[in-house]
Amino acid sequence: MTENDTQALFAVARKCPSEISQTEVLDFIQTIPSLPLKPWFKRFNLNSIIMTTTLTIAISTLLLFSNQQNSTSEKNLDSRNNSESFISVDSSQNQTNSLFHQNLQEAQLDSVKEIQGTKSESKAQNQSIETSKISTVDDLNNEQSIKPTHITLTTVLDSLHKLNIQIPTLTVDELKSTNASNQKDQGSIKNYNPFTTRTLNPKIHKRDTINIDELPSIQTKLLDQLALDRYINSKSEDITLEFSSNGLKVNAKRISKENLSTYVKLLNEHEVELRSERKIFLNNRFIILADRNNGVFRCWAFGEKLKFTFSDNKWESLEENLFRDNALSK
Amino acid sequence: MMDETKQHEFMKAYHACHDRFLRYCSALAYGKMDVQDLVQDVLVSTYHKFEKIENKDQLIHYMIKAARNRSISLWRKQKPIEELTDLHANRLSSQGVSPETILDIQFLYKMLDRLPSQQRQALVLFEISGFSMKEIAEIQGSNEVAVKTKVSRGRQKLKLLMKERPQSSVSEILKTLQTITL
Repeated sequence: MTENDTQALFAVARKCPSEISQTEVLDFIQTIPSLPLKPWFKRFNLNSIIMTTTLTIAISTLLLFSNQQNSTSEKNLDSRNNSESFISVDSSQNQTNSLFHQNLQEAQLDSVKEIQGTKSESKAQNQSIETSKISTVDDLNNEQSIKPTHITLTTVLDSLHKLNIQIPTLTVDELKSTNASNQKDQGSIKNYNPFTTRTLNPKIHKRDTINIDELPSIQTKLLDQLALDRYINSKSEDITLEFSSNGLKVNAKRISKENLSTYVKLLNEHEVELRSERKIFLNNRFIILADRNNGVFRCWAFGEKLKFTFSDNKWESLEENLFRDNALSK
Repeated sequence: MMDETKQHEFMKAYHACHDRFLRYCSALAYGKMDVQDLVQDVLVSTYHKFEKIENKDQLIHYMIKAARNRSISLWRKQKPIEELTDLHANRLSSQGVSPETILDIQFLYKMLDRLPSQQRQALVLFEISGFSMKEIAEIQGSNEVAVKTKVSRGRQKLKLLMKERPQSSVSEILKTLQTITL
């Protein structure tokens, strides 16, 4: 059979009159309005039922498994966060401890100076301090000559308080209370670790309030420092500061060990401690310090008025809401 | 009054579509369904949705699509039913078509039925119903180049199929002739 034959067949089919004449069809059309309408339930046939059921099962399975995966990953993340909180607090403490000890040594020197001065003026003061055993101030530079056993912690703290020296993470009052609960601590200052209680129980955060007045200062200093260290290209960028086991991260970029102490010091100056469940969101318009505790967010904010809603208790959700344009009401 | 106007408009719009639509339906329904049933089903559903068809000139496009959808949902891989092929032959005979022509047409429809769905539709619309490439592209929701390819490939495949079965078997011919003469 050649191509011409197929064309011939097509031509025959084309010329052939239709099976049903036009008159028949038009007659039928006239009867359509009188035909009863198809009941709604007859629109459901086996085909549509199978298709709908299959689709529903597929979607629900997909949703179920995606939820399971999310919950599993969240559980893993939580357990990791818990372990991180131990590590992170320890590592932050190592950083802050060194700073604290530096301050403390200076403070010790100053306080002993003051104690000596006070003693010369009035020898009846401060019975707990056996200043008689501290010979000269110069000897204090030599660590061997320091005899801290004769200086009680309370005294040092009082002196620090008088000198208005701030201890990085715990306030003087908090240290006092810690000390009061454990009178046995009266002894070596060198053995005293102000982070001990928190390290043992990382879930207890002594300092849960942030001074909002300090937020503008923190914002400015952080922006300046980040720009200086070139972690950001411009101060108008949206920045997320988070603390992890690896250290401090800026927009998921890790801060180098050299710079880490600068940031820890900067934040500690404003009595902001770093935690694994704390993040700082800032740009040149606002700063938000957010804590998450048992899935509940608590925020301290300064700057533009913000309107944001939490669809869930995830950091991503908060971050998205904060930095989204329509979240700001100018 | 409303019904009468609608009916009048529908009949007017259908008038221009009849030949092309019926040829397509004949090729589509051959051996699987009574073409009259198919046409009536499509006409009823089209009539009820007539107001929703914005461009009345494209009524034929809507009807072709409806017929095709109906064929897909109803027949799928159904084998040809002899009674229906006989009915087809009888109807054509009553229209004054010669037995030879009926045989040719039936042979053509059988071969067309063995083509892939899209190629068959394109070929039937182009060669039998007389649609342009552009119109077929609109009906199939593709472009003219794709339709040309389908038509070309359909022709080639049809030619091959016809070579494989150069002639209808004698028994088939005799049966068809018997149907027509009786």
